[in-house]
Amino acid sequence: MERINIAGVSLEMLTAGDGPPLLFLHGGDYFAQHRDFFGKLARRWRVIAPRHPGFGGSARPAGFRTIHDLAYLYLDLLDGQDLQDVVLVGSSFGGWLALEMCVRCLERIGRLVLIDSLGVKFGGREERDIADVYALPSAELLGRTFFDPASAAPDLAALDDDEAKSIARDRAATALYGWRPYMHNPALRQWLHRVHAATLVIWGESDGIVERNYGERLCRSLPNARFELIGQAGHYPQIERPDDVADAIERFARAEVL
Amino acid sequence: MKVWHFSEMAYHPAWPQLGESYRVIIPSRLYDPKIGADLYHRYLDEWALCDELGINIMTNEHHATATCADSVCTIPMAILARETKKVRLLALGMPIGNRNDPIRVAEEYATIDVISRGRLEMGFVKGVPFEIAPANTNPADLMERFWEAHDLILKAMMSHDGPIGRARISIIARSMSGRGHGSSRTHQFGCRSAVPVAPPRQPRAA
Repeated sequence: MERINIAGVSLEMLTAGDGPPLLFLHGGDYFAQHRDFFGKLARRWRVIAPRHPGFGGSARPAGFRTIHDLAYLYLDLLDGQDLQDVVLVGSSFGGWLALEMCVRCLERIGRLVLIDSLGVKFGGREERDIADVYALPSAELLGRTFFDPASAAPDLAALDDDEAKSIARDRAATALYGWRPYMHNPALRQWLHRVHAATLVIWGESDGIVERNYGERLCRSLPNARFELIGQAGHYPQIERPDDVADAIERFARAEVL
Repeated sequence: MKVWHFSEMAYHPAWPQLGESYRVIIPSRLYDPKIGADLYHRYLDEWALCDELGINIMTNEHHATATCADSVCTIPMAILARETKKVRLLALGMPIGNRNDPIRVAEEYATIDVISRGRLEMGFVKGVPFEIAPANTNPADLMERFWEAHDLILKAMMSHDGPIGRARISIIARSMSGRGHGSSRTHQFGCRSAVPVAPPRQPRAA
């Protein structure tokens, strides 16, 4: 994998294709399972998929402790690479991160795609919007994450040490950034009106981490968004249905009006 | 009539050296742990006597003050839960707006209630202004935290298969304003819920 240096922070980064820029912000886990999806996107775009600080082989500076640090870092990336009219795609935790970027600055962002995004609190004080991935038994967690866990989830026993270490770092970093408040920013909802870029909200029909009604509510909370459901897919539809999700993003990117 | 014995477990040997204020800035050099241990044992012995005499026991807590060396009201309660056999044990109480995790408070109270075989009376306090600095909590939204903690503790105790403990609830509130006889929400709560509300007079600045 390549490396990129943004404002002194060294990140591992996967790139593919040579079209207009598409920045993909990954979720808490299963980064290695994105190859098919990136391959489809690379037909049209130059896909830029950095590993967030603390994830995979990317270092985490000691001062990086919140989602806000990541948001500013990736806004710096857009500036540093002088990227224009970027398609910003965020999945799960990465969707939250994309929203944090968009409420701050849309200058270089053309369109936004949120895939089963986290980050916003809609329910009441004692309602759970986002399943607690740290509290669920592993079999149930897999069942909530994938439509078909048997074919989507990797066999952890078959991984080599580097791959296993990378997954362990992903999990530790996700916990660091997302533990409390759990996978959301309590203040984010009140700023969603600032995200006036054309937005596609994609949701896996069988997502058991953040369910469909959360996605529909998120879509209604954004000024210029439409919703698209992906069948036979869970929390990571781009892993289970890479063609369907890539096609949906292509259609969305071509559309003049939403 | 019920009779209660209450002691703040004061560390009075420091009083003569503290001048006009016994609170907030208390140099550690004024505390001798040997004398402190003797005092703690004395207070606990007095409460053991209370149990023999049938006098109920109340504990509280304060911070950074020589008038009260009871750092958490549940610590002497935990000892008394085992050492006493008969009397009611009133913790009045826990400053739940200043505690980071209300669920831990529910756990502590429930543990004491079970060890004492159901003799705990739970009390929650807002705390007094000089408690803010040692807890480093934000005073601006203290009451929001108090009521959120209160609701969470009750829910923790009443959830699952049934009440965890058999304690009844007492509420004590103090106003931050210095004029204090409890906030209006405190009084509304007391009227609605038939839970005792005890708003003591707040000492005014001279």
